[in-house]
Amino acid sequence: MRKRSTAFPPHIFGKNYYKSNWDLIVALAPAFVAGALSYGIGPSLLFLLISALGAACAEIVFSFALSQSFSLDDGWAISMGMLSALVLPPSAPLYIPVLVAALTVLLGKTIPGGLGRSIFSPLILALILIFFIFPGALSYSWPSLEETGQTVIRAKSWYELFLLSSGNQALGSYSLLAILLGAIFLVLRNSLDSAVTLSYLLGSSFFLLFSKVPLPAQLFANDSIFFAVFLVPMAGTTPLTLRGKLVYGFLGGLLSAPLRLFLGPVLGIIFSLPFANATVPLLNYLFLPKARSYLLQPMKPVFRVGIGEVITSLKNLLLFLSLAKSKKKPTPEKEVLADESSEKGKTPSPVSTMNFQEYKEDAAGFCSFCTETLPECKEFLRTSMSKGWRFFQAADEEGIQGGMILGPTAEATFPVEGENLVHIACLMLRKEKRKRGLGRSLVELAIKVSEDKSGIWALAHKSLIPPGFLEHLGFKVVAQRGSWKLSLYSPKDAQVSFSPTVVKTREKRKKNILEAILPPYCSYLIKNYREAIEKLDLPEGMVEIREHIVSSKEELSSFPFWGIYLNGKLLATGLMEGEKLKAKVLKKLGE
Amino acid sequence: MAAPSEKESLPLFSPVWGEVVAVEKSVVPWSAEPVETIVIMPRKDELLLPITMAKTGFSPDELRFLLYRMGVVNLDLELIGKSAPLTLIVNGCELEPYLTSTQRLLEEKPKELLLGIELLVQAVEAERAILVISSENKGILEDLGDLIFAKKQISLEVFPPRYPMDHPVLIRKILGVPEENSLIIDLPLAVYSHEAVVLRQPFMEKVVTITGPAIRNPQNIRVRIGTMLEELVAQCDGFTVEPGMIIMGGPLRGQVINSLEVPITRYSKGFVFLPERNPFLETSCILCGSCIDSCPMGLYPVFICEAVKSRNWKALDDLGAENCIFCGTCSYICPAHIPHQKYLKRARERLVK
Repeated sequence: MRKRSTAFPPHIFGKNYYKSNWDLIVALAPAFVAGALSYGIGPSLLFLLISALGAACAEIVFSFALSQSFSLDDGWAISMGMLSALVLPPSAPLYIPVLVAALTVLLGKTIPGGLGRSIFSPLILALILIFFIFPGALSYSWPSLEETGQTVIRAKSWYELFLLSSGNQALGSYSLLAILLGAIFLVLRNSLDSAVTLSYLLGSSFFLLFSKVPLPAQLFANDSIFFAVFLVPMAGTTPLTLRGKLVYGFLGGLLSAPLRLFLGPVLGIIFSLPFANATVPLLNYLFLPKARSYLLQPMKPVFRVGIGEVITSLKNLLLFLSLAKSKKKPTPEKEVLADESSEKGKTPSPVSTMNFQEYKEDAAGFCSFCTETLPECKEFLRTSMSKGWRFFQAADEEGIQGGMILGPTAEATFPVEGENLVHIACLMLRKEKRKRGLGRSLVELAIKVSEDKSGIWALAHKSLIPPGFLEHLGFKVVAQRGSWKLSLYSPKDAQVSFSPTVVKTREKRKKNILEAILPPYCSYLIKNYREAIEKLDLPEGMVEIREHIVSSKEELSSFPFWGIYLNGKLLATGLMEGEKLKAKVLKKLGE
Repeated sequence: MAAPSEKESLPLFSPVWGEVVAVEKSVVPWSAEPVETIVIMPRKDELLLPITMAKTGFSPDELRFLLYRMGVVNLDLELIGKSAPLTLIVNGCELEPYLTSTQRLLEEKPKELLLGIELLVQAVEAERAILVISSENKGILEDLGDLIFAKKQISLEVFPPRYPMDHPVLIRKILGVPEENSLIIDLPLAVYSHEAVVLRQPFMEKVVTITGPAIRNPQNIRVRIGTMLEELVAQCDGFTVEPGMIIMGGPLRGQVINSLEVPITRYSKGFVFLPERNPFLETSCILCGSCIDSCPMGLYPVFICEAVKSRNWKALDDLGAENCIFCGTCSYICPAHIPHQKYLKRARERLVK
C-alpha cells in the first residue's frame, strides 16, 4: 500500500511561466548576435554576460538579505539581465547594465515578494532611475526619427534597414530581422502576447500625425519593435482581458508618440511606458463585467435618488415640521430621521409628558420596568441607598419607561478612580422609547442632581451606547481601554482615570474556565447572561462555568470589566446571544 | 440482489453466480467513511442464462420500470424534477485526456446505441433526442450520419474536441436547452439500456479504460461490476514502471487512489496510471490572465482564489464562485501552478454553508 495521499484535480499540468522566461532568453539571442556583429563581438559579449551575471547575483544577494528563497531556475532574473544589456547602448560604462539589472530584480521580484506584483514594468523603472542618476549613460546616438524616415525612403540598401544598421543605439535593436526572428520564435512557442505587441505598434503609428515621417519608417523603427516585442507585453504589467490588452497596447503606443518626438526614440518609449502601466487597473476594471469586478471596485456614486428616497425624505420633513410645532424643545433632526427609518407609523411621545422621579426609601422595585428583579439584586438595591447610590425613573401614563442609577466613585464596580465624582452606572430605556430624547433628558437630570459634586463620569461600551450620545451632552472622552470609553462631564475640571490593572498570577488551570463577571444592580444583564450560558450546552467537563456578581471594585482586580471571560480572555460584553456566544467559545477552544 | 433503499438509488445485480460470503464495511478510496459492501464467492460452474425476449412493444411506464428493475437508470421524471417538452441529450463526448471508453462503445456499437436512444426516448416520452459527439470520432461520423438520417427524432451535434465541453452544464449551455426540460444521459447508459430491454441483461457489466504511460498494454475492457482493479492491470500485462500516481477517472477531474484493491463500480469510467507525481509548486500569481481566458463559465478564478486566501467571503457571491463546474482548466493552464481547484473547492464549501 502506498502512502496515503490526497491531491486536488487536475493531475496533469500545462506549461509554467519558467518556460516563457527561458523562451525569452532564446528569443533575445538573434538580436544580440546582430548587435555583436555590428558593434564588436568581444565588448558586446562582455556587456551581456556581466549584465546577466549581475542580475543573477543580485537575486541571490537580495534574497539572502531579506531571507527569502531565491529561484534562479525560473529564468526571470537572467532574462531581465539580458534585456537590460540589450536596451542600453553598448558604449555605456560596464557598471550601468549591472546596476540596471540589479535594480530590476530588486524592484520586480525582491521587494514585491514575487513576480507580477509590481504595477510598473520594473526594467523601465530601473532605466528611468539610472537616467536620472547617471544622465550621460543613456546617450543613444541614434539619428532622430525624422532622419530615419528620410533614410528609409532614400535607402537603397535594404541591408542596412533589415539586416544590420550602425551607430550607437540600443544593443538589441541593430537588426530588424533578428528582432523579428525572436518574435516569430516566441509566437511559435506561444509565449508572446501578440495582442499587446500589435496594438502597441498600431498605436505608435499614430506618430504619423505629428511628423512627416512615412508609415513604413515608423513601422520598421527597430527600437519601437524591440520594445513592442520584448518589453511592453511583460506579464503582470498588462491587463487581464483581451479587450483590455488591445486598448492598453494602443494607448501605450499613442502615449509614446509625443515623447518620442521630444526625447528621441528610445527614451520616448521608456518614459511613456509607466503612464500606460498606470492605466492597467482602470482597464481591468472597465473590461471585467461589473458583477465580478468586486475586488477592483472604485468608489460608488454617493447620491442615489429614487422615488422611494424622495418619498421618505418628504415624510421625514413633514414629521420634523409637525414635531417642531408641537414641541417647545425640538429634538435634533438627525434623531427624528433615525426614528422614522426604524419604526414607521408611530408618533413619538414628547419628553415633556414624562414624569421623572427618584426612589426615596426602597429601590427594590427599580428593575420592574426592565425585567423581574432577581433576588441577588434586591439585596443590593435595598442596602445601597445608604451608601450614596441614587435611583431615578421616568414614567408616563403607560408606565415606567426608563431608569438610571447614579453611584459614588468609591462604590463603582468599574476600575476607575476619581475624587468627589459620581458615575452613571446604569441607563436603561424601553426599546420603543429610545431615540426620542428620553436618554438625553435622563443624563441632563443626572447633571442637574449632582451639581454639588465635581462631575459625572460614565464608562460605556461602544456596543451599548450610540456613538456621540454622551459627547453631545458635554461629556469628553478622557480615556479608552479596549472598546470601553471613559467619558467625563465636569465643569470644575475634575480628574478621572482608570485604576492601574492588577494582573493576578492565576493558578495553573487544567480546565477551561468560563467566567461571567456581572454587575450587582442589573437583573436584566444577569438574566441575559444566564440565558446565554444555558444555551451553551457544551459537553460535560469541557468547561467549568463560574459566575461572579461583583459588589466592589476590588473583586474586579483580575478582570477589568464585566463580561464573559474564557481563561481570562474577554469573550463578550453587553447583551449577548446564546448562539453567538457558543460559536465564540467553540472557536476559542478549538484554537 | 440488493433492493434500493432510497428514492434515487437503483437495484443492484450480482454479476456472478455464487454465494454471498459476507456483508461488511470496507474502506474504499472514494469515500472517507467505510462503505457497505457485499462479498460474493463465485461458483466454479458459473453460467449466465440469457433470457429470451418475451414481449415487444412496451408502454413508457413499462419501459421505465424495466430499466429501473434492471438497474440501468432511474427515469422517474418527477423525482429528478424535469418537465415536458423534454429533450433527451445523449452525451457521447469524452474529452478528458486518456479516457476512451465512451468513444470505443460509440465505434463498436452504433446500432445498439441508436436503438437504445430510441428506447430511452419512448421511456421518457421525449420530444427529441440529441446525440452529442466530439469531432475526434470522425471515422464513425459518416456511418452514424446515415443511420441517424433514418430516425427523425434523433439529431446529431458535433462538438470540437475541446475540453471541458463534455460537461453537462456546458452541453446545455451550448445547445441552449433549459435544465428543467433536458435530460442528459451518458452514452454507455444508452447502450446498456438497449441490452437491458432487448436482451434482458441486467446492468452488471461496464466498459472501463485502463491506460496511462505506466501501463504496458492500455485497453478498454468490458468487466463485471465488482472486479478488482488488480485483475484488470494484470489483464493489461502489468506496469512498465511502478506508477507514481493512480487516478480514478480522468486526469483533470479524477481522484487519486493509493491502492489497486479497488472494485469497479457503476460509476467507474477509467483508471489512469501516471509514472510520476507532478512536482506541485505553487508560486505567486504573475497576473497573466490565462485562467480568465480559459474559464468556460466566464469566471475569474484568480480573483476567487485571492478572495478565499484573504477570507473575503462576501466577495465570493459577487464573483459568481457558485457557478464553478470544477473542470480544472484554470489549474491546468496556470503558468504559476496555483491550485485554483483547491481554493474553488473551499469557496464552494463556504457557499454551501
